[in-house]
Amino acid sequence: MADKIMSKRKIEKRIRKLEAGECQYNQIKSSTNVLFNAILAVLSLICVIPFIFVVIISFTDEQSLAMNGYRFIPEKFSTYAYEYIISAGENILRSYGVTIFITIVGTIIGLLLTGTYAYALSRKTYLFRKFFTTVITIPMLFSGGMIANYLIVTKVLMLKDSLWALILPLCLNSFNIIVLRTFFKTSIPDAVVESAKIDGASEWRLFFQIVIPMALPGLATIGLFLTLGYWNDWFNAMMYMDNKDLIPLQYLLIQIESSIDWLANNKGTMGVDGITAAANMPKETIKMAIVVISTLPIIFAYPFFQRYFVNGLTVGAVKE
Amino acid sequence: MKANTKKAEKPKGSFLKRLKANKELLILSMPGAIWFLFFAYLPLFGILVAFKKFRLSGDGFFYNLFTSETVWFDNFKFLFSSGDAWIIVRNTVLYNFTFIILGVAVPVVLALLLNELKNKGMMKIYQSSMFLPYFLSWVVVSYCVFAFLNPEKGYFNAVIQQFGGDPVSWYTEKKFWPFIIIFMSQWKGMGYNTVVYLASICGIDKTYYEAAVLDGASKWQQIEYITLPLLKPVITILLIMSVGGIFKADFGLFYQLPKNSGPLYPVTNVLDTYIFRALKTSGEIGMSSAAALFQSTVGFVLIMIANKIVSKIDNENALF
Amino acid sequence: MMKFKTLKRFAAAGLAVMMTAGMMTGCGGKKAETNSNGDEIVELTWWQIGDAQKDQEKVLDKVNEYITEKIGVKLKINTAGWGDYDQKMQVVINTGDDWDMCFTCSWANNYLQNANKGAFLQIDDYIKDTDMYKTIDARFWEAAKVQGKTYGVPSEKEIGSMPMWVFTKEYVDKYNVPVDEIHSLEDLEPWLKLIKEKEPDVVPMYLTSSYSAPVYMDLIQNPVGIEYGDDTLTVKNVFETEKMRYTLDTMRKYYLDGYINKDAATASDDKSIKRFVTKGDGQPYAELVWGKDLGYEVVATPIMDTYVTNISARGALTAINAQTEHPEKAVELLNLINTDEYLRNLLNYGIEGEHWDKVEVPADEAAAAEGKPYVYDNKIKLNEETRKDYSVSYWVQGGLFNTYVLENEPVDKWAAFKEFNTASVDAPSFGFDFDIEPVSTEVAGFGNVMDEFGKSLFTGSVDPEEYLPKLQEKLEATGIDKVIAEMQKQIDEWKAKK
Repeated sequence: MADKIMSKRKIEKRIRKLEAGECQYNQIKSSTNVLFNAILAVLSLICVIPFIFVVIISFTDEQSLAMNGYRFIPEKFSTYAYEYIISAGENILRSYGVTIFITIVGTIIGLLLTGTYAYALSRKTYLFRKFFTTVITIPMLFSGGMIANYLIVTKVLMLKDSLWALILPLCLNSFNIIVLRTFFKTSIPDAVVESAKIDGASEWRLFFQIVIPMALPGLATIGLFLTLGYWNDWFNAMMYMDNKDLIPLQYLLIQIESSIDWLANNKGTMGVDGITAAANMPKETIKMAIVVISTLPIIFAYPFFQRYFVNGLTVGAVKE
Repeated sequence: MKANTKKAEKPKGSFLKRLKANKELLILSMPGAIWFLFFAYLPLFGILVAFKKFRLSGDGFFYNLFTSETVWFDNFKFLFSSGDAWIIVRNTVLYNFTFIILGVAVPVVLALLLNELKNKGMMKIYQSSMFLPYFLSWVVVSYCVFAFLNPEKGYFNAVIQQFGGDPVSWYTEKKFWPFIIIFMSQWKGMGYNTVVYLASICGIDKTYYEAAVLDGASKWQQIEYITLPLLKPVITILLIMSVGGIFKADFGLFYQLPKNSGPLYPVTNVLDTYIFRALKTSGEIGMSSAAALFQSTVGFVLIMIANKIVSKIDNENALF
Repeated sequence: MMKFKTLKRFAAAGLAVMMTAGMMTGCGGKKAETNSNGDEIVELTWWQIGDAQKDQEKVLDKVNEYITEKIGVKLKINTAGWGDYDQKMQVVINTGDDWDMCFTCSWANNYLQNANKGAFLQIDDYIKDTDMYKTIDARFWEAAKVQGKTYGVPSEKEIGSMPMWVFTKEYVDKYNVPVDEIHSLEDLEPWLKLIKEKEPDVVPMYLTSSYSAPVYMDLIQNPVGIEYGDDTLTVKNVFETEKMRYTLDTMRKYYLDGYINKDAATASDDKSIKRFVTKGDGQPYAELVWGKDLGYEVVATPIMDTYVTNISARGALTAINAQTEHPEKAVELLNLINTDEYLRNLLNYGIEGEHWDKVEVPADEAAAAEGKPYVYDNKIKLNEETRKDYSVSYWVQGGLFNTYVLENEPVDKWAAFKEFNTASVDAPSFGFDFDIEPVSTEVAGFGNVMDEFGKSLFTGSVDPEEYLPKLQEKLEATGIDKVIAEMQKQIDEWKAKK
């Protein structure tokens, strides 16, 4: 395709027309559009319905839930679950704070570390490229295990009960680096890099001033993955946080869920004791309410990332 | 793209200049490399546990590790000792194989569809909705699915009976579950996976399309000759990386969704669920470490093979 | 584009600051404190199962006030939730983390396994002169022995397992069901039939996925064990016994006759379902607990004699870290908890006046309980508002017999428990521990097989004619014969040593 030579004038004319929005060309037929819309609408519905279900359950009266099971249209509405949460107040607020803090800090640090490393890997002139790629490939598969990681984090890095134990283990991973490297390789034309090099740019400048603006979709993607990873993490909290004041929201939720689950499964062995323990657990509706409040913020944060990888809405894609 | 494209330049600058550039890249790689040292490589000593019968006889993990009896490969035996080893491996590999293929095909198609929609607003809504399943844990999802599949009060059976059919005992009939599992796994992951491809499409230089249209290319041809080839790097790399996970499974999908129902085991038992059930009673950390090592090694070998194959065909896009 | 450079600098600086701050939290100086007697105060860490309580710190402060003076100990309690406890303790124990005491039993943080691995301190020498050694039932201490050595302090509660049939009182009264005469599975039949005919929307026999059919055996390593009353100590596979085959056939019959809910194998307890009878693991006055949970009254009858096995007698223990620096103090603390009325109730229910208040025992009840052991001068009433701020599982921290009973419970509750314990019969295999090491590979295979077939067979959901052979086949493939032979060998040795 690139071989076909067009007169420069013709191209520029078309471009101007495009930018003026006059041309309706290169869009799909209306009928195809309808078809696509229909397919996507069905898929979206399938994805949204269970979530709506969860919201509805969280507003259902506990008794009617016990009586009728999960229903789309509950017998009786009740805001009890949310009242309970608000009254339990401080715990939830604190967890919210912890989660937001580690998510923001973690995503920033993660983007910096991932970006620098992936950039270096994307540069063909880099002598040590193969070595550093190997460095990240091995951990993708091999892990020392829960116990070894625990030892390093608590004994070597001394991070027990510190928020850094929640931030650092997640800020980098091989998958993100490799994906970002691919983005760098494909979205930065060699010509741009070379002309900048000729102008005497250092790798720093190349990276920060040229590559990053051009690779915004890729960065937004990795940023999104990092944010989601932090927001949903509970395992690190379980491992490293004995201090109950510093646990993130997801862990609060998972704890309740796994407790209820475990008690239900072990009724046989625990007998009567299991019943009294289970009686103290927060009810179903509260569980669902926690799911709702722990998911909503991230849903609101999502459009922030979305605009970077949606065509036509890209901010500042640079063309040479 | 300038109309007068430059030819690739000879390596520019002196050796010193190249070394300087490499030094900068080296520094850029350092933070990430240090992270990997602490969080990925130092803990690797944990692999030793797989070959030992770990016992506590003194103070400190390392003392215990070295004084514990070395049993070499005994800890691996339980993976093969069950009469079901064949079924379990078959399930794991077949499901993962399907997931790998669908896990690329479905999101790519979705990304293409989304990209072509006329109404960008709707596109954002569809894409955001498809993301929601990612936030629900399998426990919560299994409750929602149960509302549909409950043999006595579920929606599906109610509809079936309305049409005069016999209610299906969903949780004991194994023939439906491969489809249910495959469907649910895509349902949960497609929104997340689509992001990478959307971002990639976004990064494709628009002028390629403009030139193609000027040459009279149809939509199909544009996709075939521009979009897909330019997505090849991302697709390839994601395929290679997912091959590494062929022996691992999403535990919640295979354990919680089918509600750990015995009659379904022939189609829902995979390596991870088998290991979990086997080690529930023994607590022998050597065995769980051995299982993880086994899964990792197989994955590693497969990734190396996949990478070798890809680098023979298309060296640009291989992992190394 | 200065933005990026400054951003980078800012991030680096912020990182440095925060890291230093973070590191500082990790360091804490430890200075030796002393109590009023001049004894140095020792700090002990105790891991317990259950969710963290809102008022935990408050109660702990009061506890520490008391015990620093009395024995020079300061207590720190760490908790891990029900679902996390096993995993958390595995990490804590295997990495050699700092801890002094932990909760352990046969179904969580497995007592036997950890003792065999060397995680727990052998405490025979420390406990032999303590009060708790004398007051806690000798059989608990015997059960706490592994290979002849003691590794934990048992929480005294019910010692035997008592499976019971639990009937909804409403229907018992309506049809005059002679509950006291019903014991075995077969005894139920005429009544199940009656309910099925007369009460169409009541499930005659409501079962859930955790149901296991009545088993007349000590399942030392499920499904291998020794039958109750078998003094020859012959190791068997429970599925090969006549009794089990008969039971499974009966369950199947009930299922086909429509007495059992169709989704039994996967169901979890749905309280909205009306049922006539279910199975439950009982203890004295369990009816009160079940009734409260369901919202209506129940009556229960035991299915078989109550037997004491190692598994049932290890329902709750507190073990001490083999690497602890303060073994005597730890034992002293546990002794104090199990004998001191004030401390025990403080830990159990919370602070008097805040979480609970003392109430008087009605005169006639007090008179009737005269002379019985473990009867106290008062009962307690929990404060409705604050009780949810401190609500621990009672048997996690110590024995039950020295706690006050709740207002709605009989004042002789613990006396009844004691009677129950005394009446419980030792299973022939009581005291025997099976070392799974020689057959750990084979045993690992059992889990999957039992999960696959167990629930459906027990609930009668599948035909035993077809599935029992399948189950046996799979068990044989996993190597059950080897396990049986090994267990027989070990138990013969154990018998000879007695």
